[in-house]
Amino acid sequence: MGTENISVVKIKNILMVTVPHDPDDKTISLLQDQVLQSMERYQAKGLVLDISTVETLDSFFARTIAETAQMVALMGGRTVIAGMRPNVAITATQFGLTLGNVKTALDVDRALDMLMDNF
Amino acid sequence: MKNRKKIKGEEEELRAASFYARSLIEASLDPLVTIGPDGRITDVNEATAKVTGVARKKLIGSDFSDYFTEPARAREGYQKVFKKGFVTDYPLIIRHTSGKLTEVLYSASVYKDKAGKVQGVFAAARDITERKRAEEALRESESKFKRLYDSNIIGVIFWDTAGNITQGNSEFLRIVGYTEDDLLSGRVRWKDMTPPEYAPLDEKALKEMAATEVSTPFEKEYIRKDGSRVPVVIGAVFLKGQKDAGICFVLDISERKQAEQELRKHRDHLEEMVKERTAEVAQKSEILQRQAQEILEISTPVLQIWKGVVVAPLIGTLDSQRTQKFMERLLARIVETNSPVALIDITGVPTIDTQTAQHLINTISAVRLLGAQVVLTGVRPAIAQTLVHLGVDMSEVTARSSLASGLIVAMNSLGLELSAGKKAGTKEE
Repeated sequence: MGTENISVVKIKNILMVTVPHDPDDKTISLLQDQVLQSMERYQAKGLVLDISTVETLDSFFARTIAETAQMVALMGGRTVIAGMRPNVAITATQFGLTLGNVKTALDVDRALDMLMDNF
Repeated sequence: MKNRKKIKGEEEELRAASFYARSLIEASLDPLVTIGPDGRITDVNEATAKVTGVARKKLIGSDFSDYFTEPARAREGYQKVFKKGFVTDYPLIIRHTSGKLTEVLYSASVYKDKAGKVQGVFAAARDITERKRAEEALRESESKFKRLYDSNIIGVIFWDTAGNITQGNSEFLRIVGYTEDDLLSGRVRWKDMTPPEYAPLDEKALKEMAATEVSTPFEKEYIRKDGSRVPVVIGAVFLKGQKDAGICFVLDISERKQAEQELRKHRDHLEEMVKERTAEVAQKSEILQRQAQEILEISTPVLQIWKGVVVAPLIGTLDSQRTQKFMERLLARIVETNSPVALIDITGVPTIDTQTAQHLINTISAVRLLGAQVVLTGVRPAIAQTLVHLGVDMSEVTARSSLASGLIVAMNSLGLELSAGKKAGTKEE
């Protein structure tokens, strides 16, 4: 899985990232780097991580998402995870995986609403 | 002088010979007796005194016939000797003074003086009690065996190693379906009646008999006269002192075999029945399972009551399986209806334990991961007490006592205002 699968899109002052459906550890690390670089470049206020295509969530992925949200917060942004699939959510709770205090939304629309409301 | 000496020498020789003869007579275990022409005893040996119980002195001069159970026959006997000159194996029974009887066979001959005149009878008796007893015992044992042989409880045959059957009782003939005539003509041969696959068993038995004379009984089959087969158990033994002929018993076990087969058939039938029943039960159990599944789904309905709000009333006891199903359905419905708020109503849950509480918390966490929130409603006093006593951490959960107040929380979070009375809505967040 190459880096070309990760695209960071800027809409107004919000960054949109769609996570590929089966990301490996390297891709996840790359994703973090690209997000943080884009945050700096665009001076963004918010980040939406769209994981609606992700079918499995492992502990590394969960931890990286939580860490990325903390890092984005340190750079003055808020993070919303959007579109987690029901079976992914069930598996995650069964294995005790959490995303810390990261906000979640049912879909990208709602995530954008949440971020817009707070500006 | 010389002549006298010679006479003296002859007399001495004579005495010596007489002494020698006497010793021989006394040494004999057979009762010996000499009888005069008048039937009186002239001499006896010790054996005679023993067998009659009468002292020798008393015997001599008494009537010979007095000592037998049949005096007349005894008399007849020695008269016959006088007439014919001898008699052999003349049976008589000597009576002892104590009453004990001894069966004897008399052999007797006359003895004469130099002139050829008959002096008396010399008689020797042979005690045949032992022989008689042995014969009796033999006869008895023979009759015992014959009784078994004739009873036809089991088949008995006399056979030889060449394969012939020299004799067989009617039970044996019945088993193999041959007649007495077949047997006498020599047509009935055990080697010919044995199916080839059983020949090794016969060989084995013969080998065993060569070592021990007896074979361990074993099962085999005989081909009957009509060509059918009959299962038998046989055991054989060589006749005494023979290595090529013996006696053998043959037991018909066709009834037992048939019973075994019946039994096997019954068992198979039973197994078949059990299999059918098992299949039936399995089918029914499958139906039951499917129904249980349906009930499970019906029992955990998830309803959309407003755009963006779903309600899931839980009724009855929650177990792991049910909670799992419930979680799946709730999450699916939240995504389907795109509802950011889910109300879980537990008014209908009678009791709650640590495990159930944990299941609920897991469900709430999973809903959060989706990006929706849960409002737990219908928490009755007893349930609230239990949850706190169990030490379940519910601090992250928004909870209300009634479904109505939960609905107000849901509406508020959607940015909607309900104009109807806001009662019992104590805010926790």
